[in-house]
Amino acid sequence: MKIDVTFIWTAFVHLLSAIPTTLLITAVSVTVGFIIGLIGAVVRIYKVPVLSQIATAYVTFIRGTPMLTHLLLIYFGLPVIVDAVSAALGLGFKSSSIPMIGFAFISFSITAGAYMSEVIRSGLLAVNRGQLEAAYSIGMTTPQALRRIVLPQALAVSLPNLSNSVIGMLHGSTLAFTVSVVDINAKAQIVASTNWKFFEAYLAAAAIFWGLTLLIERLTALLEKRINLYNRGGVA
Amino acid sequence: MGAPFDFSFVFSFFPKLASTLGITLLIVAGSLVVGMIVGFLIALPRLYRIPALRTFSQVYVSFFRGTPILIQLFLFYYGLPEILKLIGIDMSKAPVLVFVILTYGLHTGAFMSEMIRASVMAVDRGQLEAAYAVGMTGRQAFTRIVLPQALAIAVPVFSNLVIALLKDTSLAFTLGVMEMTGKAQTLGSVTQHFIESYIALALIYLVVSFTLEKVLKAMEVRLMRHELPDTPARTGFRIHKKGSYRRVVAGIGTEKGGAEL
Amino acid sequence: MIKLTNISKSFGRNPVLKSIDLTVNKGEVVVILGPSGSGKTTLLRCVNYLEKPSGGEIAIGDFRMNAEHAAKKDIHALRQKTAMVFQQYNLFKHKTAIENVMEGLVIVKKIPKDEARKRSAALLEKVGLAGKLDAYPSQLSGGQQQRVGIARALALEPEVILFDEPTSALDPELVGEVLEVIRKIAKEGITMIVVTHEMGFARDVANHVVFMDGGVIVEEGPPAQLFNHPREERTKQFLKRITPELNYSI
Repeated sequence: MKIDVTFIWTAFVHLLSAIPTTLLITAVSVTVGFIIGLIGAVVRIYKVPVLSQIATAYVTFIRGTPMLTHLLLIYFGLPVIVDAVSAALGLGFKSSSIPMIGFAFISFSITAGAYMSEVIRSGLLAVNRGQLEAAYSIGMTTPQALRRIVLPQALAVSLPNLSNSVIGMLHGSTLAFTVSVVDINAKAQIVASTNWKFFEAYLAAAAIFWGLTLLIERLTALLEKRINLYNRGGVA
Repeated sequence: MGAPFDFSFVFSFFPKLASTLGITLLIVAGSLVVGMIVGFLIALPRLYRIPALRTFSQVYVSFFRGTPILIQLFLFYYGLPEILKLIGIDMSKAPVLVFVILTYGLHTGAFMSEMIRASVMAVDRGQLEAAYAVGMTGRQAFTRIVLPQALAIAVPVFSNLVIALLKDTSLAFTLGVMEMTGKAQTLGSVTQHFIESYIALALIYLVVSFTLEKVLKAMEVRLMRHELPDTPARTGFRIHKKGSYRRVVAGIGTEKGGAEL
Repeated sequence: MIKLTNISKSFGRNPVLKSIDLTVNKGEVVVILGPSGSGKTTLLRCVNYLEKPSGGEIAIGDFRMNAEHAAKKDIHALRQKTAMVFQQYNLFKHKTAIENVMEGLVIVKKIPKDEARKRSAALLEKVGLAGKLDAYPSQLSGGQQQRVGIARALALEPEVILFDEPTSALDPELVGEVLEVIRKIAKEGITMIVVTHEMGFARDVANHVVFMDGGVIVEEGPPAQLFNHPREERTKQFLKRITPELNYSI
């Protein structure tokens, strides 16, 4: 077996068709994860009884276990719950009508939510208390102060970590192959085994992921530049 | 799908899964050793700004941070023997575990090098100047003053990396290594009690990562004993005060990901 | 005796020191004054080579070195003959007060630990910190930290101690305790070069005052002469601006 350089290109072209699936999984999990994370972070910072304990347990469990186990638990556990609930309520809904990619969406969103909750929380904590006090001093309510003053600053602080979360989810989406979703990684497996050229296929897959990651980094850098205009300091 | 849920299986699966915990921990420990050596070698050219090697380090870090570990596993499993064959080394007989440890080691090494670099750079420049001012040589200043402080800064990041590595080892089963996740799958398909098996699996991971975190936290407290002890009222102010240290942790990312080229 | 000859320094194309000559006799306290950006701190940092001068010669006693082409060995030797007290204290953060003082003795001077500990404890007592031997820098006030910094410098028994605005970073109420310590050791005949904004201190303690501006020494002389009868216009202006606020410190 020798390295077939031209096949790397062939594989690369084949893999392009799977990019939308990978990006879709990443986008859904990051978006839903962000919402979960935001709620989780605020609940924990304000120490809302019961909810904050649930949020802490959720974050601890997810961060202490591999993403793969979340996917497997959802894949095997969710249908049981859905069917039980559906039967109890007399609905006609069957778990078998959940598309495979749905399991990836749900599970990865849960994973992302826990990580992003930590990121957003530390961002919120990094905002100087004086900012909140200043907001109160001009008569803002707590929700106003949070939305208009604290959150924008917290997100600016968290941007590098949020970007890392996005990249983490992009890389994590390769796990989707376990529930038979054909993302870039699964496609690479298919291309590799039909042609018996594993190294070349994975090299092409690595190149695509590398490119996507660098793209996310660049976009983050651009965004950071814009957001942090106020942070420049100095007198000029 | 599968047999009806029966919680008692979770308990009966514990000892069976725990018997493969050794393999999981072996992968973690082995890759940590490889990772620390690689991380140090990769960090040095960037710390000392050695021209060509520095670019190599940047590309290395960017690649390993920029591609999923799963892809890296396959890439090295299939690619490394081919490449080594070119220089006359036959790896076709090497056990899979070697590839797995090597890949995780190279992967972690990239993150370790970033950790080392950022921690050393986070030590206040005045510390080095003071060391020179009392007459220390460059080597003395580094080993006695900069390194101990850098270590303290690095521990929380290191702790995150170890736990991330532990979780990543759950992918080794894709190459057929019978570690905990692989074992859980086998148990699931043999008994058809998948959910119970994966619950047991998740719980063991949880306990192990929790323990690792506590141990490393104790280490951090010891190394950071020169900082003011935590006050009960942990407010934004405190975090603000420890700005530089926080920024380091944030800069490397408490999570993985990131390519930075 | 310390003799700086023709010391110059540029950052990029920007000259900060323009061939400075300065002689400090043994046991003398020299205070360097000047507006910010005058090059006084840079000059001080050149003396122990924390800044590399672009040219000139540094001599301490019999030891002389070409500042532009210094060998590693010479830099090391120079630093052993000098000690520095920093504006930001720069205590080793991971070491206690006494460990900070011991560090140079044990590592650089190779003095046995027991002996070093004894000497360090005595020095900390001298600067009024007998009760704080085992405190970490983060547990000490700025004034206390700076006094540890002074003890650390004294411990090395250098030919000269360099003070780089030692009270500028302190809260006003802590300035006194630090100046008091410096005053005390000045009386013991230790050679010092002090960059400061504390005019009262300069007047009382200095044997010789140097006024710098724009990278050159504009005027120097005994304090009585320089403060009461400055010859140069620039010196007069500077003193006029600064004297109304004797405790000026930023």
